[in-house]
Amino acid sequence: MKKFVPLLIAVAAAVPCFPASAGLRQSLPLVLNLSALQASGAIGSVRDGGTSSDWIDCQLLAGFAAPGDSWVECDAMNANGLLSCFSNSASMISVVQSMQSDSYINFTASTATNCNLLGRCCNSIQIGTGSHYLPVKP
Amino acid sequence: MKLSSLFSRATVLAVAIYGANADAGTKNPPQDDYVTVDLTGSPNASGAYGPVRNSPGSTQAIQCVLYGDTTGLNVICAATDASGVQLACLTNASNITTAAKGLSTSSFLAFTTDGHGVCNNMVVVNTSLDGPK
Repeated sequence: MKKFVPLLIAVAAAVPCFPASAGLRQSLPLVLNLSALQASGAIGSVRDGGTSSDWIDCQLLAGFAAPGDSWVECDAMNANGLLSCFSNSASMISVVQSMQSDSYINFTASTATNCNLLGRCCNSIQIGTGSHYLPVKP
Repeated sequence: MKLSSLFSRATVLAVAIYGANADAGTKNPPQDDYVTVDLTGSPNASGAYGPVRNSPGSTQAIQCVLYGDTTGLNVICAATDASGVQLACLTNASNITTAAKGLSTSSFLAFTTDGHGVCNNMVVVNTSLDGPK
């Protein structure tokens, strides 16, 4: 539980920091740190952000590396490069199964690049849903 | 939100469904789904994503974040009402993380805590009664 205290504080603290005219509305554009191997952003904010090169996603892969297997892949890209990671961890698959069209994504990748020959392994994945995330527009 | 309140909400939903007489389907008044935070007894909070996002003022919000790594799955939920009163909780209880996985873009969410930051229970409702974000 201890390791989640900063995250819990961050989630709670985020609430009063964003002025808006109706309900809380939080813009979470892509933040991609290729050195720290970490990426985050809310799908709606990234899609409707001002940077045409930015995107972020997570995918569920079935039978990708071998028949009957299950994997998740998370990706983020900006003008500086692409970060991808893979995992067959049940908990991370479970998290990605909860994704919605306007979810917030935050993932970290390992330094090793041999995650079952697919690429980097994911160290952690966060998926958020909430009233303040921007809905995706056409 | 107390369990009795949740049952009351379910009853209201049922009555609304069968008692409505309108040209369009039944819709909850948005203000009925704004964030409520009650810090007394078993601290609890509730709200629906759509009405909360479109509520007056700039303080209301309610959310959950699922966190997974190689050691397991956790969920953190937080809510702030119109007065700025906040409540947050964390748990790795599988029944609650399972419920949280059912949250969609326009869900109604209610959670109760033990008073020390641990989530005790959760209700997730995806219904035609509540409006979109």
